[in-house]
Amino acid sequence: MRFILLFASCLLAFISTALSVLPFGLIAFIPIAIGLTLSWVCYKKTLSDGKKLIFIQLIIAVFVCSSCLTLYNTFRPNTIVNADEASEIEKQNDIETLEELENLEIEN
Amino acid sequence: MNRFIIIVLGLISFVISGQNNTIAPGEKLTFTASYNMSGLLTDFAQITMETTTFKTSKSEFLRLRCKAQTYEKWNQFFAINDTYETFVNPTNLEPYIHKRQINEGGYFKKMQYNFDSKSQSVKSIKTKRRKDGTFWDEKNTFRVSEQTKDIITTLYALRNSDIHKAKIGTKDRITVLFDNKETEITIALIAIETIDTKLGMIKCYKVGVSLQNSEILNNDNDNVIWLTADKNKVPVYVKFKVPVGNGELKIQHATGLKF
Repeated sequence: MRFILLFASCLLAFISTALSVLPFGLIAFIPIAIGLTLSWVCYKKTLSDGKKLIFIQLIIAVFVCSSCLTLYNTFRPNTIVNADEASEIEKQNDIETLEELENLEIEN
Repeated sequence: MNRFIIIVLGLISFVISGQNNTIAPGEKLTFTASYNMSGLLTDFAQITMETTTFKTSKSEFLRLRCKAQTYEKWNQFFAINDTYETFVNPTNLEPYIHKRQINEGGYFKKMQYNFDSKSQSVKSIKTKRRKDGTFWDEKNTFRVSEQTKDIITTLYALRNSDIHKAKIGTKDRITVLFDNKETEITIALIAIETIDTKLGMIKCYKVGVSLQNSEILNNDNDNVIWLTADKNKVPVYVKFKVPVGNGELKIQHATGLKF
């Protein structure tokens, strides 16, 4: 039972780390919530069995770090990058459009 | 049954006015696009719609531009940089040149339509990029109906329409040119609602958009636009459904409005 809980916690720790790094928003909290619950139960079981706690403590620490990273990614302002290359392409498009529209006259 | 439908459609239609009374140069609308991932909405891109004056030696056109760009944190995974723009007559929003440039995750495509209202035809140029980085063009000329517009002009023409004169349940059909094909779109005034937006609590026209005239007026259709119920008719909220999922557009800023 303790081994299953430990294995599940490890797996969820890996998934939550991956999702917290990706820009998928609050979706990382789903494995974090489940993982923290399972790892807390595993911690209690390990404590009662008198086994070493270091491994489960590390897993809980991973969940805490993932939570912090997810919150940071979610609440930091979204920014747009305007590359110089894109600006140059826009200027070129404007020049081409001007040449095309020069031949046209608006009829009112 | 067909005669009944024709009579009903003939009686109830809100007019997409020829005269431009709503759109002025210098307007800028900024939206955040969100995508539904496992029940949670995630912001992934910014959409801007702006109007500027474009002058030549003979005329002054109105440029209607719509840009979609992913936020910086998404660029590493799937970068989107799309530009849709149309150069129109500022008096009646008649399109002259429409350009669409798509740059999505390495896929590049450019589409241009040159409208000729006298001959009711369109010259199209499609530019795509090969794997080796070189480009190739595909040119076509085809006839279109008098009312056919590109997608950007259609969006702005919808804002220029006499929605305020329409009753709930009113429908209208618009023909839009997209990817060299004329597609008929049905728009319907579903309701008048007050919704909460970044700009405050605003009374809006809830307009449903459908390609096949299905699921409109059941309050659960997939593509809905909320336009402010004032002279500006600003789109403040959009719900959309695409083959790979659904999402929303929410307005963040609106500047340079005519009224």
